[in-house]
Amino acid sequence: MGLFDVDEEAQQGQGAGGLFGGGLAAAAGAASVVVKPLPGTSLALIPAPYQPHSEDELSDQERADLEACKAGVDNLRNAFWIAGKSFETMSVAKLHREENPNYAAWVWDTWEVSESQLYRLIDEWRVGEALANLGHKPPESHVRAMTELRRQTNDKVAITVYDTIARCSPRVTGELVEKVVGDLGFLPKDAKPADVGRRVRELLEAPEKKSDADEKNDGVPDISSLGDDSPNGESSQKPSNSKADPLATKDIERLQNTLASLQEAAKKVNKSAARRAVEAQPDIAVPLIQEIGSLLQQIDRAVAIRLPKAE
Amino acid sequence: MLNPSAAQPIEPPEGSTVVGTGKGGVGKSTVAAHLAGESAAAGERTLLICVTGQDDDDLGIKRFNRGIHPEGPSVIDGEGLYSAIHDRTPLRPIREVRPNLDVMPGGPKVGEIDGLLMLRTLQEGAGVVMSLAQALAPIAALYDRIIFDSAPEKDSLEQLVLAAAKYLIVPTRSDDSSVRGMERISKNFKLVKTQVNPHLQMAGAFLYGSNRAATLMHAAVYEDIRTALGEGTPILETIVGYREVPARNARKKGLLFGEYADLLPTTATTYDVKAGRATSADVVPDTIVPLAKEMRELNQEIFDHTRRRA
Repeated sequence: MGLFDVDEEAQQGQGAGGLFGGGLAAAAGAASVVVKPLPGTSLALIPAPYQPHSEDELSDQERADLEACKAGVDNLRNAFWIAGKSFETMSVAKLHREENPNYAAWVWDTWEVSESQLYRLIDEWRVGEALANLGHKPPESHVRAMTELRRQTNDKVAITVYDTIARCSPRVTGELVEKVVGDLGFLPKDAKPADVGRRVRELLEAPEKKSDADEKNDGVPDISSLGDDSPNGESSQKPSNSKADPLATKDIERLQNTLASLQEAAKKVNKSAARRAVEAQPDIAVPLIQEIGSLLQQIDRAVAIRLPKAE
Repeated sequence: MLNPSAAQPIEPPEGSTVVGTGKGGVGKSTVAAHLAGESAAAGERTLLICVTGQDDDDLGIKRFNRGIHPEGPSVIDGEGLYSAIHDRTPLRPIREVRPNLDVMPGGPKVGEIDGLLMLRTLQEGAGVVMSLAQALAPIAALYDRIIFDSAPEKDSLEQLVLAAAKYLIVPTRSDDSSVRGMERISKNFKLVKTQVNPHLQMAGAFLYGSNRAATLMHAAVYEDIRTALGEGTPILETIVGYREVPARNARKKGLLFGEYADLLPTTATTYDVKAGRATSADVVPDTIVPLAKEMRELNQEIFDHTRRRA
């Protein structure tokens, strides 16, 4: 008998070590291993408002509170799929049967959710949950933009499409999702997620490849700092010969484009204009200002890296 | 994630493969990283989970800050793996370490999982061996292939990994202690298979990091391995030769062998180094080419074996 051949009878209780050392019967206790709710999904985990403890760096407790509150706000993005999952579970298990056997009527009476909205949420929750588990925060509109794609194929293809967009683009917008889905065109029912993912990458990377090709024609030979840069395109800790490395070149281009856009944007807005806009039409101006602030913070976070000391 | 019915058995994901060994230092982490890299390069969505206290960073995640790190606390140095098990939450891998390749990095914090699980075992029973499988389940469906790098440090960690996977492959060196070391992992394999994961299969063993010209010795080693493993376990044919310099250089740059070999056309020469136009680190040794080729062949053979077992 070979080392890896299993003799079930002989195996019982023989050489039990590690996690099985406490007795093999305990293995049946898998039921007790439950998955804990994510932070912020329980109201008890979100602190009540309090005055700042200081003006200095956040304490560990404040950091924990910040994470809990951020996760709490993320619920805005999670609500649609949590509701959809709940609706489906209640419907399939007929948990409503004591209160009203007519499910759609019961949902309307209880939450004023229409039948069409009810089934849309049920239809969307699996994709929403899967994307949330992968660390994405798609609003319902993004998932809805993939409805036709999901009908043609399946949820996994839709998840792959969204995830690939998020990997290749700094920010996922509803417009971008719609564009990619549109550019993908009709997909067969049995389309493989890996193939679709590849196609999405091609669609998103096409313009950059062109600029890489232009860059390669500069005729500058490369012999230094081979491989110091990531194959994924992030900069290494040491500067390398950027002209010869197409990926580093791409990064420099990204930074230059960002700087140019920010310089252009800085010319267009000032405090008085913002104040006037808020006074005149707060319902339009306030969300715009908040979005601008949020994007600037996002950029700020993106460039908040340790820089090499000046020589 | 809000799943009160966790008692349901978890079938390990298709294509989930553990690279495990009887003893350390036989090339397990290198093989795991290359398997994952090869799979991702072929367009398959791949997740590499390193359940190892010592992370060699073959993919340059830490040194070159590669990949898109998840929001919130750091997942480097095994912190992410530990917190997922501790908090009973889904795994939060670093995405796009390479196109299509996500990674849960190992590191010192992984060592603390053992103590945590032991404590929980006292309270909850040996069902805690499913902890990794449960943390993986919410995200597993997205991946076409999941590779586990499993260190032989602790039985509990090895069992945790084996409970979450479908296939086991075992690299070994030619020395007696490596071959005999397979006995240790085989105990955990059989224990997990009979108790919690009947889907687990032995996909094969293979000789790693040996001089390819030593055919007579290989024949003798294969005989030893066959005697130990019996007829039921496949033994893979490909042998990746021992080539220290290119392997070390590639790892230092956080590159897989194939990626490092791609740099060969732009290598500096010793003449460039003498002339001060480049450093010795810019010289790519020619031996990276056969090393990359052999590793690719080994990866393909492993994929073929796991496919056949499916």
